[in-house]
Amino acid sequence: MKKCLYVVGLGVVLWAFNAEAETIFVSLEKDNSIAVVDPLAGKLLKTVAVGRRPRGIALSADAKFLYVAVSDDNTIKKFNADTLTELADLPSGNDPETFALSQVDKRMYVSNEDDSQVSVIDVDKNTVLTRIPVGVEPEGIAVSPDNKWVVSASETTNMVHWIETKTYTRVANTLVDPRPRALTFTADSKQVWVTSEMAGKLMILDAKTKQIIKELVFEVDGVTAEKIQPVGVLVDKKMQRAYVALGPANRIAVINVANLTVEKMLLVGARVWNIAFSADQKYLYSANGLSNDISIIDLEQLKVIRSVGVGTNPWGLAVKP
Amino acid sequence: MYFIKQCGYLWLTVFTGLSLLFGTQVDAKSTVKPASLLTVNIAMLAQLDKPAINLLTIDPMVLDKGELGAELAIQENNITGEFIGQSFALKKFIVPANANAETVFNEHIAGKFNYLVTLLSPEKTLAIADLAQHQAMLILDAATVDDSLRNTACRDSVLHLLPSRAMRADALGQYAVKKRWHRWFLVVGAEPADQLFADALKRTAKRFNIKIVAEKQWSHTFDARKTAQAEIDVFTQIEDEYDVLVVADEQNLFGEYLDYRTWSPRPIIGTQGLSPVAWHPTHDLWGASQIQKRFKIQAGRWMNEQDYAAYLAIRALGEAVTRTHSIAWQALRNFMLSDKFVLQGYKGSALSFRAWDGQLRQPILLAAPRSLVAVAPIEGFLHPKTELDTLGYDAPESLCKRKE
Amino acid sequence: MSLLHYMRAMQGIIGRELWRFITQRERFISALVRPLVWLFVFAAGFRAALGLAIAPPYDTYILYEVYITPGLCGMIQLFNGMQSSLSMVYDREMGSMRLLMVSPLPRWFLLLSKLLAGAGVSILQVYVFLLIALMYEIEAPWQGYLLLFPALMLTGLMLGALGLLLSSFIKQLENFAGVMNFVIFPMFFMSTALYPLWKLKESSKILHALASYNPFSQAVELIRFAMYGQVNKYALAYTLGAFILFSSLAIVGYSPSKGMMARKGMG
Repeated sequence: MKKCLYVVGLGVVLWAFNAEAETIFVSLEKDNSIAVVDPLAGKLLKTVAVGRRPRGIALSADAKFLYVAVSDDNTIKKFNADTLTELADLPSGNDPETFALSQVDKRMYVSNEDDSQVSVIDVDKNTVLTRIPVGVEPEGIAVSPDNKWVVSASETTNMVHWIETKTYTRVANTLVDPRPRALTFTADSKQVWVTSEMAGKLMILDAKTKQIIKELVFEVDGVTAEKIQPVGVLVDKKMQRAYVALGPANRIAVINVANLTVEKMLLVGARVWNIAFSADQKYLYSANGLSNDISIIDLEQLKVIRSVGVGTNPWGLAVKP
Repeated sequence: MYFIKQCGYLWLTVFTGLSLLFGTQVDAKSTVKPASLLTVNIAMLAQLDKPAINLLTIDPMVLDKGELGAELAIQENNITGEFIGQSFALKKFIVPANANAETVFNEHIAGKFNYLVTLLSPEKTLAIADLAQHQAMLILDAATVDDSLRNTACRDSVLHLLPSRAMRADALGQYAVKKRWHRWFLVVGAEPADQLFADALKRTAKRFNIKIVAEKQWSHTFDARKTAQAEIDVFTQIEDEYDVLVVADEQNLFGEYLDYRTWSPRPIIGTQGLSPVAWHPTHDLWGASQIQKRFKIQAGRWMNEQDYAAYLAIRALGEAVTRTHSIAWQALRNFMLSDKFVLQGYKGSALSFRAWDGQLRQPILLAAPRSLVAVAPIEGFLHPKTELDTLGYDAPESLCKRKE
Repeated sequence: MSLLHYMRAMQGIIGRELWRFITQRERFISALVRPLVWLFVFAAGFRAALGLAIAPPYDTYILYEVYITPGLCGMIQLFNGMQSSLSMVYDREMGSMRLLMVSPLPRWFLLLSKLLAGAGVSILQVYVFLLIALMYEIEAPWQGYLLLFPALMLTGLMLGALGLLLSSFIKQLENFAGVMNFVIFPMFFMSTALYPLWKLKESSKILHALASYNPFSQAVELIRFAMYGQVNKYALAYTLGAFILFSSLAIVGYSPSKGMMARKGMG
């Protein structure tokens, strides 16, 4: 065994920073399974079969349940997050790609890509409350932390649809740049950050006026503009830094929220898709779709520590503290 | 002798209703709310092919030309349009092989439509473009692949959706360079189109320093003493060593016979074997599986190149109308040829039109019958502006004199 | 012969080499400029901007600049080793070599001291180079910089021994140009300094074979792993073996009775 100084050293450093063990669940689109990764050791622990074409993945607020959208089985599966035993199939509607969980009232909002609609599910009762028509190929979806709004981005219609949670009606549509992929609310629920894959852009929408208030175009040295295709986007709780995965540019852009500038470009695996924070937000994990691995990023040093092979086409991640 | 199909009207009514129901429409790009419904009327003129020989009985004959792609795109445009008060209507004019497309154009399209999607032969496309020269009309050509229509015979009012032969040959050439297939044995069919593709291949060979060690014309001679097996054995016995056999047989009259039958064991590329195409059933990257599925549910078959081109044509119009809030053809044409125009075409890169010849710049799939082998531009072929322009006629080489 | 004699002789040789290095400012600057030009011009122009796939010792994706840094450390040592050999020829021509060779100390010891002196100088250059690279965010863990020292010592000795061996064949100063063309460049280009082995394999089988047997490749790999606090045992054994082989041959080459020296009318 080439047990080397560095690994040991790194392990010690990691241990010092993060004494609590975390588990990352990664949905593997082409392996019909999820990977379970220990980020501390940088190790793939196991792979568990979940169903056909798993994509969207998230944990319940109390981290007891894991939900995985298995698109080709036309359902979202509910698992016990500790044992990974299957508990239920949620009536997600056709081809669920991804979904958002409300941390407040146990509602789940599902993007049904083929049917151009958003399904609202009561996860406890396992029933569909309503289905809301949106644009063609809805993908990115998010619930505001104050639980007032759900936003859904449709990739082909190129719009962000605003759904009021009180009435479950779509009350506004914002036209954005082509192929909006992912979106997220800021912690104060005042802004929505949306990425446009084709325009290589980040757009910030004001939740009050529903208008684009700021835009940021990404550039990477030595990489042509076509390769810069922003997908996953996250803003930290303190609203100091935001992170955008740039797809085939193999980079994660680190953005200073205050002045909206790119602080650093972090090199990760090929075609980086979705990203997730560790529970303490000291680390960021990225699913790299084409290189079949996830990258682990130390956010204090802004450094990619390591990349761990997980399986074919990692799509999304959920982090269990 | 032609028939007219109509579609889109159902959608139109549904969405007019819906958009009235959902009151608030916030539009970030302009402060003015769309006051009234903008309706875009699009004509589609397609002429059916003369009955072709079908070498492969396993492939179903597809007779509808691009119609289903156009229909899918109209639906998608209307879903988007509904949110911002725009609607799209498609009127299809489908003429039989022996009818006169020009008459149909003059009687039913000229003066009545600003936007026309054509699925015609190169000659007819040019004839219609000339008829439309002095009209307020934008033609979206979803069928031709001829380089002449994009060079010396280019017309200001025409946009070409499908990649030209030169683009396809370059895609093949880039992959050949990557694989070090530097010596080509070119086999050309008897049809005029085959010669055009052979010319494109020769241009590529020159660009990428590939040597065509031998070129042979395939003549359909029928010799009772020979089976296809023996015939190809003898036909492919050439003196020079070669790395790949490159075939130009666009009508698919003999190309499929070549593989596994050549004298020396060599791969077949070109119109058969590994082929450069705009769209292919094996393509499932960059969200393509989504549209493949949508199309298949609706059409009951795989999407072909002309479906894809017609889909893109109408989506491009939709995108331009959505972004500009205008249905004035001149404004749309200018916008579509500008740097600001971006079209999502499920091929990894944003698609746009080349201002110098109206060609849609796009990646080209290199597909074997059951496997997507590569996507051109191949990594390592660099271009100062966009790598997509390493395929086909770049601005300095173009012979097209368009009014910018 | 007391140990003191040995010590003083070695000190003299190393001191002389260091002094020569420090006083010849152009040599110091050129020793640094060469790898820096490669790093900032070549690597930047080369556009492996999308990152190189993970291969040990790297834990994640790296930029091309990061990849070629150990190779450039090797390049510094390669040039230095060859330059030492040039200085041997120079010394021989000027006669100071004769003076050294007639000292009562054993010849192998003198040559080894010479090698140590050369390696010491090259290590100095490498650390200065890495310091500059650090400013461009090409950094390794601190353990790596420590482990790098013994690794560089061995690779420096090996490349120096190769230079020494070559110098025993060279008659005149002008032949250094030949060394550049026939030794330095082929060794550098046909190695893992610029491209990883798996990448070479993708383009040419012959190049892959040449690069994997090239002792310079193994020296570069030893440096690369050491920089990340790891020991590549195969590269270590290979480099050590090459050092023993080259230095033994060089000692034979410099021996007045049977070596090249005798035939060249020296000694």
